[in-house]
Amino acid sequence: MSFEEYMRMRRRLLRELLGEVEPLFDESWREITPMWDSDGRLEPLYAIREYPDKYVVIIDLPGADLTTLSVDLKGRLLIIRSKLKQSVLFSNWGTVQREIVFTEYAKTIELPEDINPEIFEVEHKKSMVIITIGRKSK
Amino acid sequence: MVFPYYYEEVYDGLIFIETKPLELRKPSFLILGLPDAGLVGAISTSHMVRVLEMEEYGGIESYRYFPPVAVIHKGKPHPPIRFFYRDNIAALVPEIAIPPSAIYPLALAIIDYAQKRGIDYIISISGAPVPNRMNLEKPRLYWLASNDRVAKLVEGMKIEEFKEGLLVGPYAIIFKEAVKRRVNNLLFLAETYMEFPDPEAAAIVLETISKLIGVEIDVKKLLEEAEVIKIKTRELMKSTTQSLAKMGKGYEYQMPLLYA
Repeated sequence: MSFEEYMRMRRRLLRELLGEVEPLFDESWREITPMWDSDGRLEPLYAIREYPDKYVVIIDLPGADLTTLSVDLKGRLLIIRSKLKQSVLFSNWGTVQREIVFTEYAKTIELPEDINPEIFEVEHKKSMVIITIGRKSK
Repeated sequence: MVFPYYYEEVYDGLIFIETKPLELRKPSFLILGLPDAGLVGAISTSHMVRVLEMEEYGGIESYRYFPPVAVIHKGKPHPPIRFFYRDNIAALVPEIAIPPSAIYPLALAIIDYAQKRGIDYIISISGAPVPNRMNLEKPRLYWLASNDRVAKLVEGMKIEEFKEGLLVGPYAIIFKEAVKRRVNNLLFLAETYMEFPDPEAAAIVLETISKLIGVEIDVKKLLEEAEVIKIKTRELMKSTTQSLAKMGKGYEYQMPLLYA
């Protein structure tokens, strides 16, 4: 094995190792990150469905005013924001023993590398927002 | 000096605590709201406890299986799974997602506890995740009974029997063990989302349970407050989804090989 071949293999193995470790880190990080911030933003629940030709992102935005919904795709980042129909006040809860008024949803989701941004559709059913993004054929 | 009532019993690393003596009229029901798909059980039982003004009498703690959590209410610690009762109904309401390692011991301990307390019927409330839930105006409800005596409870009710499919999670173990030990267990499965809280499905289960136990449980408030409930239960739903994924809840989408 030449030195160049050795370095290529080393780089590939490092990439693979990083690919395995990163999601684990993301998962543990998510588990200790609250789904809200003290500026009044709530993080919505979402699910990603994978199909051969597309990805479908389903986001639940209960209480959202969907006329204010904005969904943007910047590179691989899907950025979702929507105001709430009414502010929601929670008081003396969790680790924050004071009142917090929530006024909007905000979430950025990193999509897989093989998305095809030419196909991009947004629809909603009740509080569910369904975003379809194309997937490049292999 | 009068000491407050306190009783605890340990089942394989799970501590069942009673801070008041449990006295239930007959026939008695233990209603389980363990968190599952759509949080159907958790939302149903917590609503039931609220509208029936049920009294807290204990709960389940575990220093072996549960995360090191203290649920603080009015400045006092409560177990992560709480017990409430009124008349002939006891209810189990969770504050945390159940870790996969706790599923087997918890399911077996619940059956043991119900037998020791002379509970006549264990009612399990679960969610059956369906991919097209958002297209369903009204989710369907299914039942599954551990024996013919239990099946008679739902006779005449217009709900379908769950005849084929896979069950995953604590209710699956409770059901299998109930069949084996001839314990009365009735499982309700409401069509729901896998990853999103579903108060509408919870309301459908509660309407049926209300008829079954002969106690009016008003679900109007549950439906009116559905959006706020969905906001408040996002964290529990997220940790439950992670736990369900680890225990293989996705198998429920699968048809058993024998019937494919």
